[in-house]
Amino acid sequence: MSRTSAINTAQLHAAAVALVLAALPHVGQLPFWVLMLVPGAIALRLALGQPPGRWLLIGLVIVVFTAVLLRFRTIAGPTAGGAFFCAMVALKFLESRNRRDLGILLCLAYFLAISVFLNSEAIAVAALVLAAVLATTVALTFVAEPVGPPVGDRLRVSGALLLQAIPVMLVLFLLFPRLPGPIWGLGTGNTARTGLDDRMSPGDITRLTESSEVAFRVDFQDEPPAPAERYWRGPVFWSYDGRAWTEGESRHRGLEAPAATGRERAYTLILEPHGRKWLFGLDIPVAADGDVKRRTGYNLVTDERIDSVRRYEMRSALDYRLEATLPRVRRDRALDLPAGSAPRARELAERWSAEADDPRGVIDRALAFLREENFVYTLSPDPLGDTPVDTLLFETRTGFCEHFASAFTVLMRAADIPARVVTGYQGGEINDDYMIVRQSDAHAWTEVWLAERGWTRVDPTGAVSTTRLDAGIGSLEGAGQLDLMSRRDSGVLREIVLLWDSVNHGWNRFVLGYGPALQKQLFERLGMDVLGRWALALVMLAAVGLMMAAVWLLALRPVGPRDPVERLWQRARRRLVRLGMRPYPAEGPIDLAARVRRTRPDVAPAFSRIVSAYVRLRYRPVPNDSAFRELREAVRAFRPYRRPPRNR
Amino acid sequence: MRFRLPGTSAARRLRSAIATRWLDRRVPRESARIRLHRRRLFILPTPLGYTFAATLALLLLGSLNYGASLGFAVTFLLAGGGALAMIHTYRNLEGVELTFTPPPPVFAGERPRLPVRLRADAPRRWGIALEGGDDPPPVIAPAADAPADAEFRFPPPRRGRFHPPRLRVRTEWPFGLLRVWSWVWPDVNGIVYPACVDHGLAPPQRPASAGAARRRAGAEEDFAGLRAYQPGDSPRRIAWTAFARTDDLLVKAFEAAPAGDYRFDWDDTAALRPEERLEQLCFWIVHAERAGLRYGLALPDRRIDAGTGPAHRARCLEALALLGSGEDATA
Repeated sequence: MSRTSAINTAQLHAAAVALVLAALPHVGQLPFWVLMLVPGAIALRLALGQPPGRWLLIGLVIVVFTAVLLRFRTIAGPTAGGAFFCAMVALKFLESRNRRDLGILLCLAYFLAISVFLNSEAIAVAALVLAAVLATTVALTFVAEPVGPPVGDRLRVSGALLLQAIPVMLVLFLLFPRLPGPIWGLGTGNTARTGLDDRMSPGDITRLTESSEVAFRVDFQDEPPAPAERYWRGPVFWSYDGRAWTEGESRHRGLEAPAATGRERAYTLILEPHGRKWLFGLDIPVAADGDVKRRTGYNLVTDERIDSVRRYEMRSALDYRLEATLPRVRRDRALDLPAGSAPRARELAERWSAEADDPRGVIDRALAFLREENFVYTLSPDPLGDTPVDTLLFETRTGFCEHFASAFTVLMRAADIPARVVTGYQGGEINDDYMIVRQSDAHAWTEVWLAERGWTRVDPTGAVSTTRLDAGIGSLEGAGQLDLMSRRDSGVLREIVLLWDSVNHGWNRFVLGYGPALQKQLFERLGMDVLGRWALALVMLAAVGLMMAAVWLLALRPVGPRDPVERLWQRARRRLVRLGMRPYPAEGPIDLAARVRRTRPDVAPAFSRIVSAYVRLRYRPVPNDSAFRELREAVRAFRPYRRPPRNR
Repeated sequence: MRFRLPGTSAARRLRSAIATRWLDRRVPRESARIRLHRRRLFILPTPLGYTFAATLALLLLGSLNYGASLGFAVTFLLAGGGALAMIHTYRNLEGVELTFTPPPPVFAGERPRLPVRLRADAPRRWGIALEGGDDPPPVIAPAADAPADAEFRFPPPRRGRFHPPRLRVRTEWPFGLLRVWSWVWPDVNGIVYPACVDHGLAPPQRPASAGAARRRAGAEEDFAGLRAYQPGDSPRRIAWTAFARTDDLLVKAFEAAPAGDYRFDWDDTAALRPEERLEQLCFWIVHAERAGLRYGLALPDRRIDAGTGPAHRARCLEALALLGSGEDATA
């Protein structure tokens, strides 16, 4: 059974099962045709009965890798890299000829199965990966011993191994140091994820609201804010090009920390991956843990793209003051309008500015205009063309939140009031003890700067449709085209989906969200935060050793015979061994007693007692309890001295 | 061996000499019954085990980089599994009891066998390989209630007393990631008779006895039936027709006439080289025994009185085997 002995059919089949199961979690993550390479290679290999010739193999490698390269144009990143890897594993199966190849193939299968977590960490995916890991472990037993053990035994020993590894896994999972950032670049992910973008043009947010995907979930330490206060701040946009809003240059110099003036809320935000760098906080976030930074618009960003579930401990002020004094640089940016854009809106704003005696008067007039001029808040607004603001305000009068926020901000800037567009989410549904915020809650609003008061939120959507802010998007006209979960009118099915969501929330909160921050908390709670790096490593190793010892003692220690009579008899025999008298295999109890009488007459009476009770129990037709008691007593009393007593 | 220690051949020889001396001290010859207790088990990862570890290291790196919590979880699960596989593999060999039977005698040029019985209590053992012979090692799996029997085979040794080399009992079950092994050096030995070869010398004259002369004149012996082929049988005696019919190699046995005692004498073979003389003596003994004759043996250092039967044959052949070895066959 050397490492170069050829693969037999059973080994090939086991590896095929492992490979198919390892590719299965990638369904939906990798292109279908890449995944189909795996069953394709298996079918080809089984049909050929041996690895294909060298030239066929080289041809296949070239064709497959060229196809992957043409499709992705790169091999970096989780998706393209994953596709390459999957193709490689399929080809490795095709060319495996001996035991060593098989071992390498199975290691690749482990890697393939687990690498799916770079793309998706859903519960169902995790279950599939576990199945693949089990199948691969079973296939490993075929490497160790190709024939002989039945599949049932192989499954049992593999399952037992994985179950016994759980304590070690937990220790390592909790204690292994987590890094806050990546070690090397993550590559350009090809996965388009839904979420707010770094620019806002008309229609962007409308499209987003068609998805009922969860954007993030929130655990409030105390009561959640009222529905009308559930503004989740995301990217803030300053620059306007006549159609789209972008963040523009971020100048942090002299940015004051937000001043809380009243109620605050502490909460944990578990963010779904959205492939961008920002995160969201209840307006206005004042503190967040980890590698979180504040931008000029008081929105939060992280150093790296959020490609996996993240968990943040945050604190927000519901009553606050932002930038009581506005530096000139930012004031200019907040007043900037591209020349020649929206002439009619500007005209209107300048008229309001002349009529009102302070900025508040202008704001009131603008809101009244939106409220009274029959604007319609709809999911399917009319197209706006090249001059979106004028068209919306004076012609179509139908729009969604980003249209109104954009138009309102333009109006404010035209009236010489510093203003900016804030995007994020508005709303949130309470499920059990946490809040779900979905993509369909995406929203945009305006912030204006008022002297003394600082930046103040004005939501023009509220002027158009009062119900949006209280009841959420599900109450909207045209809501029929929304996903089930974003609507308010569906029943039992919705309940089930919400139940499943709370399972997912627990999963995200405790499993996926376990990162550097939570680990730090855990160490603090355990009093381990004072330990240095090496001490921590020692603690971790010690804990792993402890777990392994526990598994060994509880599950794997060799056990003696189950029969109590046999156990007592074995114990007596072991004590004899200590005297240097090893029973021979063919020696029955009576012969053994005779030998003891010859060599160690001093212990013979005690041992004869045991033997007579044992023989009675074993060979009398009806064993009785008294004999068993006698045996037990006799064995307990049998504590012979190692050396015979000296008699002079 | 795929993986050799690096170094020049001289250094390698030195190293292997050191290793052998260490093993000699650590694993001396012991009884024919050996129990593999924990102190004599060695464990190291297999090449596959190292590949597995490297895979886990890559997975860990990937998980760290992408902050993939589940990547950590499953990688750690496999790491724990890999560590616990040590216990599983170790348990597969621990407590196994090997009972060696002395190798049956063989003629020089034949491959000696060393039968061994493996006995183990719970748990169920699988895939235990016995290494040290020259065949692909037999892989066996003793169960708690069913001991497993196997045989080591060795390359043909020289005439004399055959001591099996140090042997290795090895297992990689259940996961092939780790290899647990134990050296065993059972204190059993067997005899290697000289090869049974006719060098063309005429058998010695039998002392005259009644009827012998008539038999000799009659030239032909009486056909007594067929019996199984044994090494040393003349091909001319093989019953080819029976072979074609049954696939069994049979030879025609002839009943020799009862006669006076033969005495095979070392001095009668002076025409041959020393080892050939032993072979010729061996040939005579085997054929005399087969013919049911009484025969004795005279060697330079000892003399065996005439007799017949398997025990007598064994005694004679053993004397031949040990001639010149400085060992007394009767000891």
